[in-house]
Amino acid sequence: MGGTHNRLMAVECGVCGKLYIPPKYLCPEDGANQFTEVPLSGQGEILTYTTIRVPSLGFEDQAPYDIAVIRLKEGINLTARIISQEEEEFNIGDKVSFVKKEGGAHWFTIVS
Amino acid sequence: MGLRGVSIIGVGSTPFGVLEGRTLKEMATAACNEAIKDAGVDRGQIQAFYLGNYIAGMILGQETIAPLIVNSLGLNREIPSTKVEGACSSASIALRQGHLLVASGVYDIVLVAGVEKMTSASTEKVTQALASSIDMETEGLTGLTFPGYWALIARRHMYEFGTTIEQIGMVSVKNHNNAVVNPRARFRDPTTLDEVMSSRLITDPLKLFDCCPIADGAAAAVLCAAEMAEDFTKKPVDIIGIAQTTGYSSLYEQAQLVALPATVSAAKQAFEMAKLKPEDIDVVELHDCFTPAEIVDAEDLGFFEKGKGGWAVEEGITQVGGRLPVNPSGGLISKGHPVGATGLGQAYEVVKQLREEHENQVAGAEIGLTHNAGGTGGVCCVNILKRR
Repeated sequence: MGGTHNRLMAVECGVCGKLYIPPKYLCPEDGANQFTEVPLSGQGEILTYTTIRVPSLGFEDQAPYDIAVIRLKEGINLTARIISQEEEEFNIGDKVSFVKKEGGAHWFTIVS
Repeated sequence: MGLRGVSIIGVGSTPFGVLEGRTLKEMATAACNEAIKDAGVDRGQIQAFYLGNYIAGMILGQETIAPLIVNSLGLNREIPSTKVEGACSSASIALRQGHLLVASGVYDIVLVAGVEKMTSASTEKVTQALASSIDMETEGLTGLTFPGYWALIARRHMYEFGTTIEQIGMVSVKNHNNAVVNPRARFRDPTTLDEVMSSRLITDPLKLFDCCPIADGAAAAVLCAAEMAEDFTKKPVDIIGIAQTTGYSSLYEQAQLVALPATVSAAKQAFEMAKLKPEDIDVVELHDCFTPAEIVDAEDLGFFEKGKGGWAVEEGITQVGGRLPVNPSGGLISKGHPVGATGLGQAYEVVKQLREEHENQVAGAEIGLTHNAGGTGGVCCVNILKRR
């Protein structure tokens, strides 16, 4: 979970073809556990976002930080971190691009 | 399956707030003792005990607390005592377990309670304990917090429906003003929209006054077979609808970001069981852990069309004296949120309303509803209560 990858990876259910990030132990749709790892485009758009000013434990040195729910091009959603310049303005509908996976979280940047 | 009717024949509650010097055991004992006395039952008649609690194990290092309270109360040791946990819904789950045991005919009289002691621990410890109901293998790794969760929903709701930040702030104003007369509330000072809007940003767009405070507190109820209720009290309150459902353990997996699916399904089940519609409800205590939650919950419960909840607040519909008073107790926002006790705290407030004994009485209230959500909407309980 701790490593850095520069391609956004999902798992695909071998039975129904549904994609999941993060991986599942069983496919909730059909109960199957045959998954294949597949790369995604890493492109998506912001569905909603917030700036966390009072952080969770272990995130104190990162505050304030931006979190968004992203709709990926492949049609699945993901809660992720947004890498932005200080107080950078962004909005719902803005396009984002995958940068890295770090500390188990996915990090995206705004595509201007 | 033939189920019996179940009534609440007695309720008890401590105040919710910073109760310095009052321990978990003492608060639960006091609330239970008050409920037993209010019911007029003999302690020896109680046949089972269910207790809701969320974080005592994590912040106080105290577990196995159901027998602890049975022993403190001096109840019969031949009865079963069980703790249940479902984050902030824990006390409502205790109520439902008690209901099922009486409805099924296993027992006639059951005591249910909820308790939490929060203010004696450090903020860091409480924050970490509360965050334990976020999925720590997925969404928790992003640094998402509970106010953050509701900020994400609020911003999407504003985007899709034009809900304004002022409408969201008006929830805080209403609930603070409701709590002024409630002696059980933590915050009893009135506030203004200006004060809410100028309070410190916590997680954009939510500010300090959009967030409920932690609290110490306990609440309890004595449940009894409906057919026996009038042997004990002239004012039984019947549980006519009761449901518990499961939602998502993360926000991103929900199909839409402007509703809690577990609330929608629990409301549907509870209304079907009661054979009632949302317009039949006279008073509501719902889970306003953050101000946008009150707007979203009221929609999900079927009181307003999706997207119209903000305008209902603005138009005063949810004020005491409005068409549908919501959180006349002050809600979690002002009464406070002792997480494992909150669900029965809501039931206490609604029972007092239906018995016409409430400090902020809704005139003529005959049917009330409580709504109690846990975690990231992973648990939801809805109860519909009716006076005879």
